[in-house]
Amino acid sequence: MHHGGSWIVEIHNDHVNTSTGVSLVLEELIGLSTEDGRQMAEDIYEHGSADFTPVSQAEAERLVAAFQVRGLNAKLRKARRA
Amino acid sequence: MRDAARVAREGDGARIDMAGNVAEVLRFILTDFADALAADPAGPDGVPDDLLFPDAYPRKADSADFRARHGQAMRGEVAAAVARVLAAWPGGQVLVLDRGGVLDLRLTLVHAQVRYLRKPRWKSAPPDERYAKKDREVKSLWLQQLELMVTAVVYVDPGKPIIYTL
Repeated sequence: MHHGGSWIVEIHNDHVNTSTGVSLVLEELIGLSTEDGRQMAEDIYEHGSADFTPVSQAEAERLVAAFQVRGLNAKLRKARRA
Repeated sequence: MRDAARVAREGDGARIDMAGNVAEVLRFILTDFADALAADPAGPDGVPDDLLFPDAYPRKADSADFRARHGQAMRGEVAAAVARVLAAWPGGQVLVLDRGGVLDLRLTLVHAQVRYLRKPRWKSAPPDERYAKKDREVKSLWLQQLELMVTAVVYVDPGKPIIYTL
């Protein structure tokens, strides 16, 4: 396990989850408003993926696990240093 | 009503009215998936973690470590959601779900497709609904459509009810 640094959670588009389903999960898990959840789901659909603000690796793993439990294609990657 | 279901908003959740054959098939799919989750993941009847959850990291080794740390708990959460849906629904032609129940059913409908898709769902192209003939193609399309209906109905304005029909 890598330690330290900032990690970015990514959600990728797939052919199974619907935009409304993704939006519902975003509302449930990270408290996005319905409008913001829909916008992010649209971004994922249009651009293939969407990134979250960098967090610690432990927090990123917790989020990825929670998204994957809900059927989303979530991953994490190390943030590049500015 | 032949092969049909109607989904309408009820309270903060959903009400699904199904034909008898739809209820029977849905019950079979959910029970079959619950059994598969409980089976040995490495055995012929089980679902391996790498078919249930995508790689979390760019590197395979890191993803394997992630599954070793979290896979069992994640599988347990999926199994618990499926169990809650089955417990709330003995199998009749009406299924009423609150918001939490909708979330559980949505999760279940997405994951249960693992039983009918040839590849992991995040790598699968959707079956073409105009030509889907094989049982597994029809079942995965059917699960996707029901997932769409159950989630969409949560956003329906209660003052302007829309009923989705399978």
